[in-house]
Amino acid sequence: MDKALMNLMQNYFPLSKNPYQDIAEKIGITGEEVISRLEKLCESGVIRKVGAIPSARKIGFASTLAAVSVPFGKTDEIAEIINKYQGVTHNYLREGNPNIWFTLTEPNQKILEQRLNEIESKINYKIIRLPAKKIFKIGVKFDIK
Amino acid sequence: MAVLIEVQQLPLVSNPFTEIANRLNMDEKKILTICKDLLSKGFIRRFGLSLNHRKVGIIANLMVAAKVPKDQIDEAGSTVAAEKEVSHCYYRTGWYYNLFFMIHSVSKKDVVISAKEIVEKIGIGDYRFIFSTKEFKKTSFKVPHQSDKRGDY
Repeated sequence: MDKALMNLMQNYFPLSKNPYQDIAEKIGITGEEVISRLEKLCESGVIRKVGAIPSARKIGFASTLAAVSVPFGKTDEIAEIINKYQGVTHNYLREGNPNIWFTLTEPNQKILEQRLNEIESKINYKIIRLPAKKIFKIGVKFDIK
Repeated sequence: MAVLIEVQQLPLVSNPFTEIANRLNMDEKKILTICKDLLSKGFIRRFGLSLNHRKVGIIANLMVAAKVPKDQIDEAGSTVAAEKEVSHCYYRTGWYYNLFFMIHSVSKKDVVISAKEIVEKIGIGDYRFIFSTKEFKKTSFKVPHQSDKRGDY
């Protein structure tokens, strides 16, 4: 039932007075059960949140993918410095070089640039900026089996 | 903007929008109208839940970086975007590779098979598969409250 609920709710949330009740009716459980299941899924960290997913770009925020080549033994330390910035939404260690890949979103292009320069001087490694020139797809709908 | 900030995280109560309306001292109908408007204009991409995909068994996350001739970018990007397993696809500048997409699945073997099919479909031989080996951070973008202090703005 959790799976059915999560598959449905990735793209469905009625803008109504009783949204959880409306969701419940679609999968044949009660509104209370939907809420209690969502509470548990949030507590266990399976769900990060329920709500609106804003489009940073549309709101006028600027973002970029960024990549850094860091010696192997220093990756955790460098990632920790990068993660301190609130505008960093994703940060991964990846195979090959560059090996640290993060995304940075800031209120505008100017602040984005400043922030990248600031991070660069703090970590002391060159940051490759990979801004998106065109978005072909954005939106994750996972098929949970 | 106040409405958008509040509805980013909805309370798990029977009438979440009533609660938001009370918080903002606004009419619930007005809140719902604003939400529909933000959605139709694209300021809100969708309403629903944000999953921690690693916790639902989707542990193989592959980024593919491909070098696509500039005049073929639009066609290649659209082809890639149409694939079900692909979650994100962008044309990016700044590096040797310029078309980036993400594929997620339950196993590394599955994503590699899908990725190979996709690069073959767009006819690109110059690409790199870049698996993530560790997640340092993964959060949702959130429009901050005015009171939130984020550095120097």
